[in-house]
Amino acid sequence: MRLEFRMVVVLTLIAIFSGFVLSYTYISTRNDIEKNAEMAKKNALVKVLPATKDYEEKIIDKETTLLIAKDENGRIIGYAAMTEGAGFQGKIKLMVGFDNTLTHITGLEILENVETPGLGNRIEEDWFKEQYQNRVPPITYVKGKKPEKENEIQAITGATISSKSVVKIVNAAHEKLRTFLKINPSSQPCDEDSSKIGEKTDKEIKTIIEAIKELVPETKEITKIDDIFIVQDSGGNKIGYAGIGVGEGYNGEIKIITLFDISLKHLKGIKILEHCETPGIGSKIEDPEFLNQFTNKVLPLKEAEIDVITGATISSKSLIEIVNKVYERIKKELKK
Amino acid sequence: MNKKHSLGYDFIKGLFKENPVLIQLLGLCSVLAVSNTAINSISMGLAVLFVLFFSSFVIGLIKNIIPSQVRIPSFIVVIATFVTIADLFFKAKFPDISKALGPYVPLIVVNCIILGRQEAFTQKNPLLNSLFDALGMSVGYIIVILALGIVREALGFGTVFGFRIFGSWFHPLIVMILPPGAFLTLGVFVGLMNWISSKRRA
Repeated sequence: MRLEFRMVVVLTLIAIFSGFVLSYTYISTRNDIEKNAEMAKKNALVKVLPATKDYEEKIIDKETTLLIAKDENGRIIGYAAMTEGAGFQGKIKLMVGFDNTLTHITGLEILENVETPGLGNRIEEDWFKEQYQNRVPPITYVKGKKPEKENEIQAITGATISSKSVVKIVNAAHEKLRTFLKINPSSQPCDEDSSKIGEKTDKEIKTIIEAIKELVPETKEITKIDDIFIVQDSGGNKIGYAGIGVGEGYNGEIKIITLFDISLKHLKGIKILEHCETPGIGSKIEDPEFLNQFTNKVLPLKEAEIDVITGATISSKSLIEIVNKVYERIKKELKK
Repeated sequence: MNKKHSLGYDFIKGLFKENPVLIQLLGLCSVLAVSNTAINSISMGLAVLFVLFFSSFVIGLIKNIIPSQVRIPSFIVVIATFVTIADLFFKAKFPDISKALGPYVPLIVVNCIILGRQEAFTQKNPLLNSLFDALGMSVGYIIVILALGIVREALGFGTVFGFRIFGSWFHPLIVMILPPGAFLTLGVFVGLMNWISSKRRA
């Protein structure tokens, strides 16, 4: 009897003591542990949506958390999903970012995985993650060849299942966010074939006229001959030529209006009519600060004359290219 | 009762003669699993050192009041306490290492080296001897797991502690960081150890 009693007392005491020690340890490490988790989340979010300054969190279900990324003005620049799914050897936890229309993937980060080192865990390698940038979900994967379509990525040789798992998790996350946010991807502007130059509707002509007037306030009359808009002031003097230019940006077509002076020596300015560049990155081509650089530049434009936007080199250079294309076209047509 | 040895002997025996990994072949699960890089190895080794030392200390203090019928559960509770402390500490201060070690830190609870030392040594020996025994065993464990980690990382990644040691001509042997690499390397180590001991005896 005495022995049984002692057994119970000793074990209980040890357990109570252990409980106290662990509670103390837990309380003193809890802040750091939470901070680490928070940091990991924030770092991943900034990697998938680089313009993020602030974010809001919403739990969608047990596996998926939605992060709403905002810029410094509180504007929503995109959505990220922190989610998980089955890989080849265990769970893969990742974060995937989308633009604010859920049309394009802005980035992918692998948070946790236990895939085979050297094979499956190559899903952590940059080249694999970067493939997802600007892809249009749902994603499919191709094996052993370069991806061609805008929804394709290349699977890792020897780790098809791990690659496929990531694709599956990304697509599932996209679907979940779409349902949760009730965003219909077909409402975005860049997917449909953009109308050809010369087949403009009245509404488009109106926006073009407004854009020209904004560039040159003294505009009184605009006459359109073929593809060239001839701009005249109130005295009926020609003050410039304007033309529409279309080119490939980073995500899709960029449509701009360019205005040249009458001698075709200088650029008076440009205005963006349409684009679907990545919000917060490529979309900075719309910033007046960037666009003002084009004012009064000698034609044809040289790349060195324009400071490209950090992180949006392709979008920026694309504009220069479009301007020069329009310039060549107008020059040729005026010679006729 | 074991016959008493000097403190020095109790420390030294863990390194070679009674090395927990190479001679006793204990705690192999973690040795095989996390020895793929040197940094993981040393972290795991230090965690084992911490748990073994303090478990031996506490159990050495209270061994006389524990009825022998409940000694195993008592030992396990004490060990689990220190393991959890180590785990929380890694998570708080070294999140990357904690991620790399995965479940193997919590699994120290069932590492036979720890419980084995309590059963085989701490129980029957004075506190001070137990502490030296714990240190010796831990250092013996660290030496082996670190050696494994260095060899596997060097051959499997071409680096040691993250520093490149081979030129660009080196093609990493991925098998070395996979489970087979662990078994191969450990096998070679155990073989070498046996060969050395047999030479000595002869």
